[in-house]
Amino acid sequence: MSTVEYVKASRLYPGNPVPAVDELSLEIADGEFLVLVGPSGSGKSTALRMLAGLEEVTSGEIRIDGVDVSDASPKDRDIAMVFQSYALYPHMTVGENMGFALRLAGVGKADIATRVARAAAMLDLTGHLDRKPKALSGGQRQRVAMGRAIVRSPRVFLMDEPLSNLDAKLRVQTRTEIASLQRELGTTTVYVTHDQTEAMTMGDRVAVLKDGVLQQVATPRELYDRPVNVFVAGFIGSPAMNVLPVTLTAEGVQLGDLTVPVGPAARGALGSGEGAQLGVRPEALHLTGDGTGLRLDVAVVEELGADAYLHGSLGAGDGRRPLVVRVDGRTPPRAGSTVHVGLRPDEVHLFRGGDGARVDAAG
Amino acid sequence: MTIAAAPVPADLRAPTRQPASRRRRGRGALQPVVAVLATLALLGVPFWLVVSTASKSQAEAFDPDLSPPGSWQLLTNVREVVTDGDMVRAFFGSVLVVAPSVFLVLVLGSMASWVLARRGGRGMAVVYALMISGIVLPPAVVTIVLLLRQLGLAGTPTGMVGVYTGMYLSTVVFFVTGFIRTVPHELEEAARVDGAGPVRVFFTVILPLLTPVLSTATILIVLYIWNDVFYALFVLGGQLDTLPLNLFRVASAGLYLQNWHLIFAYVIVMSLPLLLTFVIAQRKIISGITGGAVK
Repeated sequence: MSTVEYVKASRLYPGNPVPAVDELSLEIADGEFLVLVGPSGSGKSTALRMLAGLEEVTSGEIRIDGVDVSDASPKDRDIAMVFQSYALYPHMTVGENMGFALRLAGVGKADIATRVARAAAMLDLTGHLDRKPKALSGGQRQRVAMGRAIVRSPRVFLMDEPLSNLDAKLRVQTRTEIASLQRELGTTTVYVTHDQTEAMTMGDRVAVLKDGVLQQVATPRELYDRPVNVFVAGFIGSPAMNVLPVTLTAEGVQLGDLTVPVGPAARGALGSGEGAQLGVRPEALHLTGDGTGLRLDVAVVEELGADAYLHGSLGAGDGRRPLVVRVDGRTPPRAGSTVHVGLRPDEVHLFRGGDGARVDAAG
Repeated sequence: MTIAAAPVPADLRAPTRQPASRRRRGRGALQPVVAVLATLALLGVPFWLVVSTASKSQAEAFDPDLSPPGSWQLLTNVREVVTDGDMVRAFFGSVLVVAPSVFLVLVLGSMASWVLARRGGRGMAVVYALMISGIVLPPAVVTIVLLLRQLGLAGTPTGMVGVYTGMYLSTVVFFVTGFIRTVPHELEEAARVDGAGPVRVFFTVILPLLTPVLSTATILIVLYIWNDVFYALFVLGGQLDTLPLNLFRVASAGLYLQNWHLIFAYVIVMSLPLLLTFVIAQRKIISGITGGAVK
């Protein structure tokens, strides 16, 4: 049972002036499942490896249970890590792989066998303990990697994209298994992924990173409903939020023929309105059917069964902007047709120019 | 080693050029036959010469040729060289030199290779170049012997082991460094997170993965050292007999003079440990030992 704290932790690689992780400050509560998410090169894996002790902490601190471990070697941190490539020892059997850490720790043979057997039972690996990793399927190898971590009952689990080598169906299934296993064990977990769906479905809280800088850390719901900037807004949610340039007028912000009213505080925050952007999720848009609202030329219709997504463009000429709208899957418009869409003012997000920070429209 | 060109599979040939492809098919069938016959002649003739001569009586073997022995008496000849030729003592002499040399060269070589493979930088590249330069640079026999005399190691097994270890370290470093570069970093990281220090990581994770390449190196180095006369003669010269030195001594001392049947019997007996080494080590040369480590 442990807490983890990043205190202005940075990782600077020699010969590169831009830090891979830039003054990351993050508190992870005991038993929490925290997901680090971001695009490639966002520093999420580096941040995790810093916690593992596999990357040096150039400045700042990393604390486990309040104790600074920045300079401790990995073996002294009592953490277990699941690697993206699993990194199973190929010359050891599944059982030996899982018991390796315990053997190094000097745990007795009988005790190791019991603990390995218990973990194997949890992961449905009991029949495979005498096999070598080579003889296992991808999903089984993934579970062995999990088992190697579980057996140790460490203070913290670290997982570095553990599902990215599985096929789509297995990934969804394993996602739930890992999440429920973590709830059951109650071990503090830091999980790295580039997949925002994984982040949203698994994490108690999600930390979004970009270029080594923490953008926002919040519950999945809050990230989705109140993204702090344009980057988070565009990164979280699939299909992505529509982000469109708007102009500030006397009545509010104007998007084509539509005007979204803004409060006085929001108006102040938007300043001149230069570079202001409006974000609206595909499901916050609806077909009006009566010719009012925004005119959308539908280019592609993605039918997913229950829903369909219209991919089209707004406006004409240089001002054309792509837009995605979610509609009922049973009666979608045809590709090539023209429809009119409306939006609900309470489901739009406003972002100011420059840093792209969120502005509350009602404020 | 000869490499025979593999015949082009039928389905890869251009279907429109019938005559040419038929000609090629004729040549394609001939190539393996020629290759096999050439190999048989190259390996078979000397082998037959050794076995048949070793099985002859002294009179028959006086002038070695390819004719079969009148009566096969290989075992009698073998018994004679083992007892009269002092082979048992020489065998232990050889083992005393070969075993520690091979052990040291493999352990030290793979430890050095691990560091060389994992650390980057220009300095490391220079060290690596120095380490493997031993493969191409000729060993300076005279200086080696002088140095050993000054150290008081001339004529001792320790000195001999030192010379062999130094000579073949380059070969091992060259082989193993390349191999370690193909071992995924994550395996070491996983071991470190699992609680292993550097020594543990090396002996429990890296070394077992090196089995195939170390087996290859073992075969080669045992072969060189076991059969070595040249360096042994200069370094050990009369102080300790290895099998080849012993053969040289007893043969020139008159026992085997013109006794080709005994010399060849000696050669056969002397080769048996090599054969055993090969049989054991080549089983470990299985490709894809890292299979299942990652992905």
